[in-house]
Amino acid sequence: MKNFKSILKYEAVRLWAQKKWLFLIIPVLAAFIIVFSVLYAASPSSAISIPDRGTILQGYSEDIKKYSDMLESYEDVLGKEKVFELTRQIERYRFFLDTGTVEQDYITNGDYIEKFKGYEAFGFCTYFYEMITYVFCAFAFVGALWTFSAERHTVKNLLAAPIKRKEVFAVKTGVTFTAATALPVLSYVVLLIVCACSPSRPFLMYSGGFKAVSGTHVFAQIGLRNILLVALYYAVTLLCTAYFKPLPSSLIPPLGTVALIFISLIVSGERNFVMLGKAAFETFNLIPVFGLWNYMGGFDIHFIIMAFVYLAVTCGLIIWSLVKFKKKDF
Amino acid sequence: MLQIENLNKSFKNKQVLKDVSFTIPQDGTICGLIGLNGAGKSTLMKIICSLTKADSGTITVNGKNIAEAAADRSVKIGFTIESPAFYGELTGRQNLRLLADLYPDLGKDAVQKSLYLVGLGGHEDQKYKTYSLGMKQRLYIAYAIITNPTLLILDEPFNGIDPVTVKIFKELLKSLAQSGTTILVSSHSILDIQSICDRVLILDNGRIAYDCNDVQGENLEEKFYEITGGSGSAQ
Repeated sequence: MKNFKSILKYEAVRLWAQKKWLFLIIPVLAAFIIVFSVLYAASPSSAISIPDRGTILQGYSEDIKKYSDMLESYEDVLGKEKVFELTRQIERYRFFLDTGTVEQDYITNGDYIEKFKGYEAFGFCTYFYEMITYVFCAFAFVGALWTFSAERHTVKNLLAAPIKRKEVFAVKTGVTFTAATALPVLSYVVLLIVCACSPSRPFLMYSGGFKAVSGTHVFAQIGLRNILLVALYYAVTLLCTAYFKPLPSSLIPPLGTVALIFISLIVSGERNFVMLGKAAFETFNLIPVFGLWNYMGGFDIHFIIMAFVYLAVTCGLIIWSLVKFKKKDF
Repeated sequence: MLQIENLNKSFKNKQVLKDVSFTIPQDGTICGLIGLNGAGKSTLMKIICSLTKADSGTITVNGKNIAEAAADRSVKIGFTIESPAFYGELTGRQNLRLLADLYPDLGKDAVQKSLYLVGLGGHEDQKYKTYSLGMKQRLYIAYAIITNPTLLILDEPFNGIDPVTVKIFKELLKSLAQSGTTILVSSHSILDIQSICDRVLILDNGRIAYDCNDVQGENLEEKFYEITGGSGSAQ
């Protein structure tokens, strides 16, 4: 890597020379933030009923009484499954009393914050990040295209210089990969800070036992998942550009993503933004998650393993692109 | 000495080069390469420049594999293949400087010197996107000769440029050859090739169909039409 510095300087100068394209990112992001903010501010929140603590407790008292009665006669009426459910409900109730957390339907894992206050910052940050991930994916595609496809002819000038192909690939890929993931990482950190500094109630999660998981913790997981997705999409596009001719076939992935963004916004717009109340939240994601999701919240072993699988696949695709690039005809 | 042996290359099911072999024994030779479109000229040149890999065959310079020789700088290769490609927002000088910085052994005045050699003196601080086609071609050649190469590969360098620039290029190539640079140049203009080359190869359908060492004494145009099946009057 003796030529690392000189190629890096080359990349810096040529990117700066094309800065007017780079600066397009600013209006795109600004437009997204404005549209998102307006829709978020205009979204309904009055439809959401927020029961107070007393109502919840009262409801649970009734539940407990009902379950206690069922427990006495479970052999006749209920099967083992019901007893198990009952035990969990009682545990949940006790946990609720101990910690002051809110309930969750731990069987379906659904709608656990829909009806409760205290999740505004979490809801905003998570939904915002979910939606802007589409924009980041589009940037990642452009970055991957900018590595070689858009540079097909100028790469020949580089290959004429006394530098190895793998050095050219490593630096160019490193620069565009860093550029493609820098914005997602940066905004992730900012939103994580916002989430952590805002008043937020913990979620009550069940995964063999009850635990309270903070909204910041859940957002941290969702955000990390999205960063891994952006990186994966970058790697997929890079591989496409290594195999396909520069134009127009390598434009299919980015154009496809842009189409997905618009389809997700238009077709599902009503569903998303009606649900996007100030205290309501529903995730909607057209980006395939491929198992990188943990309904129990937090970084459990399943999530960590899947994250490493994602990273390994991303690295594998980039290395595959390198191998192809080394043999590629220009 | 440039030696090419049994070079073969196919794209999908089409064989573009078929057992291409030739040798340029002496440094400072200008060797012309002519052929119809699709005859394999550009592919052959790309393989010599290591931009494209051959399916089989060898290319050596002074007995050493050309890719290894280029890597250890025992041979300096300059080339212009297809269209010139630089960054439009940078000036001619900045474009060359950007690439010159990749060469550790290049003197500080190399950029300026090569710009003047191709007749771009006075235009070096214009943005590349404002250059005419001829100026772009000049800049490409300026890059090809910036290292004072031992082997210069030029793929249709006279395309789209005016007669004055063609004359400048020809003088430049002759002077580079006199200083020991071996040049392989392709063109569709048989007259241009004949006027500067010491030797001419006619490539037809992926094969070396004719190897002419007596360029001045040969009616090259007639030979070309005879080999390629074209008619002189039609051309």
